[in-house]
Amino acid sequence: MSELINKKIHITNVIVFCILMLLGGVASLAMKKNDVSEMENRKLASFPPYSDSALWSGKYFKNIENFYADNFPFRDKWIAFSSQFKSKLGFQSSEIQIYNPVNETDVGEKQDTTKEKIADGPLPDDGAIGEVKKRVFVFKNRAFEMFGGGPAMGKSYANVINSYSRSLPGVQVYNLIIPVALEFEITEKYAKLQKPNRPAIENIYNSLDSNIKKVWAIDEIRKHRSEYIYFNTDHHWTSLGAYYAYRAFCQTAGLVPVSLDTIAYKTKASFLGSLYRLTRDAGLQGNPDSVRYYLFKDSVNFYVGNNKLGYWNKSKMYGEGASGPNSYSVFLQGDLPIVKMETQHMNGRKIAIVKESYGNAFAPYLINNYEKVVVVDQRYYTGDFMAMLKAEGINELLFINNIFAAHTPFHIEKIKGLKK
Amino acid sequence: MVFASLFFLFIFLPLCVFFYYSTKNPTWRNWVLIIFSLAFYGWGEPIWISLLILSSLVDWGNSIFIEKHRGTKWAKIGVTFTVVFNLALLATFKYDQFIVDQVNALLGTSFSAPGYALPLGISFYTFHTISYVVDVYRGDIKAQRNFPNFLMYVSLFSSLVAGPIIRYAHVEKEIYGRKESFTDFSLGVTRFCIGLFKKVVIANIAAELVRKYMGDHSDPLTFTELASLSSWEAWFGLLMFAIQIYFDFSGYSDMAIGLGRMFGFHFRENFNYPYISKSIGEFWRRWHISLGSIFRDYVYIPLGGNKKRVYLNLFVVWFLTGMWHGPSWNFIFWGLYFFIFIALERAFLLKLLEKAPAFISHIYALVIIIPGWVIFYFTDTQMLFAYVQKLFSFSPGPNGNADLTNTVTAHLFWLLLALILCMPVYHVVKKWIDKKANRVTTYDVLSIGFNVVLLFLCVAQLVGKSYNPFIYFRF
Repeated sequence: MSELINKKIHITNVIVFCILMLLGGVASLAMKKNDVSEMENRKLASFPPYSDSALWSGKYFKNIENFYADNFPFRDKWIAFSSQFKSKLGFQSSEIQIYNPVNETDVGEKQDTTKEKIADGPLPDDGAIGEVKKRVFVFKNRAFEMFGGGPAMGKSYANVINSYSRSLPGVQVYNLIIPVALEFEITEKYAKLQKPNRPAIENIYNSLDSNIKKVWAIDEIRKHRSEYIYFNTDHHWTSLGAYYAYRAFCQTAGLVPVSLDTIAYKTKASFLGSLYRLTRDAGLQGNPDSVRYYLFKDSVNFYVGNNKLGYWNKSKMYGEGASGPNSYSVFLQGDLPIVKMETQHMNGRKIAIVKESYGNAFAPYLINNYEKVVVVDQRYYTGDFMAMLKAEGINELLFINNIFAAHTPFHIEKIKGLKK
Repeated sequence: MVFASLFFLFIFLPLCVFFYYSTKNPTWRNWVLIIFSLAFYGWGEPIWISLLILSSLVDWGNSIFIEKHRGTKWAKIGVTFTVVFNLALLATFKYDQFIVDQVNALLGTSFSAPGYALPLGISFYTFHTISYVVDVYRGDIKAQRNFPNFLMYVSLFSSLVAGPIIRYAHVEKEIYGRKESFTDFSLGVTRFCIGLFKKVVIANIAAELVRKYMGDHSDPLTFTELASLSSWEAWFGLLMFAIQIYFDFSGYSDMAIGLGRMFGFHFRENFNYPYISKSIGEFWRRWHISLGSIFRDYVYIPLGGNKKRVYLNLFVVWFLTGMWHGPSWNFIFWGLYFFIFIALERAFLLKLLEKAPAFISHIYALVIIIPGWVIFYFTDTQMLFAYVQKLFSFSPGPNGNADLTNTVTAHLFWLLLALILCMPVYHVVKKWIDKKANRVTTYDVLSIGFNVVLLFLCVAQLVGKSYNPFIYFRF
């Protein structure tokens, strides 16, 4: 009797397996093939042309396999699932993302370089040599991530922001996209390594609803490009870089930015960040960073929350114990799911910020202008976002993301997923 | 082509299964396997199919010759010819550079090697055929008179490229007229899915971590990079390699065994949880079992085994075992490294260990095995010594261990899973599940869903993945 049951189980197993193989095989052959991957912003491999030499060297078959893998059905969904899975392998504390540099077979809107002002484009070549190491561009003893996202992804990000604006009629929504350091340091010689940031940001802002206020932080930051606005060895910006974005934000939001001249600060020295740890480049090792954080005069009550509505635990705005490679965690004590700052400025303006780790250096400035600042990490907050906004009386909502995150399905999905 | 690829999973394998089971005729079934196996092999390197077929023809013809002349000196000549022929193939294609380097070093000459590319699987199929011919010579098996059947045995895609080394004697009855069944197919499927998971989810992720600390052949470690590591990081990298190579290789063997079973073959196990060994001797009875048993049956025992000159015999076996793994001195040293401990165990160490509590033996074994991998890893002796120095410097390096802590935490669940899977948990889990559900078949039913989940995870990882190395491919 149990043998019969066993046999039935085995037959079922076989049938399930065969069906999966069949489905996968048939789907992969029958489904319409895309020519390009919007997500990776490159041409997908096409069926290779036959040649005798390609056949005998094994290249022909290898290319067929590449063609097959590149055109596998629902490729983008599989990749998104895979990166979700990989993020669950442990507790993610660092968020260093490595992206493919722009390919030669790049596809997408042709960049109209003639329209770009020279001031926006790459610097003239100054003879300095850089090299790409472990997908990071090491140049002048600094490390740079190379941006390569495509317009379709940017539009996808904008759509998510739009959806929030439309479901929060009483709330003023802002969007601030942060460029990468390389945007301001790249020379003509290496211009091919990354896509210009401003057109990509334009693409997003053009796709946003008109009532969403767009912050042109990139223009303000560019004016100060020769200052210490991004780290040499880490993928984040410094508090100074964040300050200029804050200045741009204030202009958009109708606020007066605090002046740094009169504010005390502390410094964490000898910071060797994520990009050093990735490349182990000796030049970077000899050019460490320091993390400056400002001690604002205004008193602030800082609270750490969790996914439960209304739960707040008093704490400190700066994680002063942070040191060494974790020095960036001084800001807001690192990437907590949700924190709140309440100030003495009883002006009725209460803002929520949706961010990834770049927002940590930015958020503290807002305590000079707002009654309440709630900071939500789009990657880790799993509470009821909309209910939280209501409960905290939020009337302004800022989505602040680095340009990579705004072009990555993982982040776009996370932001989308906040609204349950 | 490799098993862990979308093309194999959704085009090659389904077609093979379809054609195989679309006929009841055992001859045609074997032909399906031959054609698909040659296609599989030729997919990577079409030109070397010729060598495979040539080598098979030679050994097949030879085996018939030997059988005809068994008992006479011709038989001896025949078997010597096969051994020499196959070793010559290895010398020409795999060890040419190594041999030339040693000759040049010894004689001060400057010969250059022919520099042929290494044909896929040559280390495996030459051993397949040597074992076959020697067994015919010894009268343990009857020569396979039908060339297609023999070719199928040699070229079977499940084990051709990366083992296990299938002894003809073990599958003699299954060469023709196998008894396939739903049960076998089903168990094969499950086994295959497990192997795929081990390779794609455990080994490939371990490989990324190995690459970060130890570099790899596409991105070799530089001395500056090594200098920037802490010794904990160096150890962690090595531990990751220990994990990678085990799950890579045993996963591949699992897939080979599973695939074989889908077609009615019952291959023997190639791994038996080697990291739970209590001695080095035991480790080599649990690691790459098919290789160890070949060296035992065809080198060690003919040399006299443990009856005479046992230490010399052991030395030869371990020298060759190391050398089989690669044409480079570090592999030989790795083999001899184990020889030292096997000799010590034989002399007195094993008796000592048996007196101590079991956990001492486990620790002893791991302490020898895991650091041993560093000898295996670096073919460049300078880098090898530098890395060993870093390992035993016990220093935090210029950057401390904060990044390592981050890396470990970011992979914590995965790491725990990998460590647990090194142990024989399958039976424990199966018993527990079946007990909880009060039914003997619950685990098997769950397996069906489990396979789907495993496949799902693996496909997701494989899509858009360019990095999918298999270490033993160099062999």
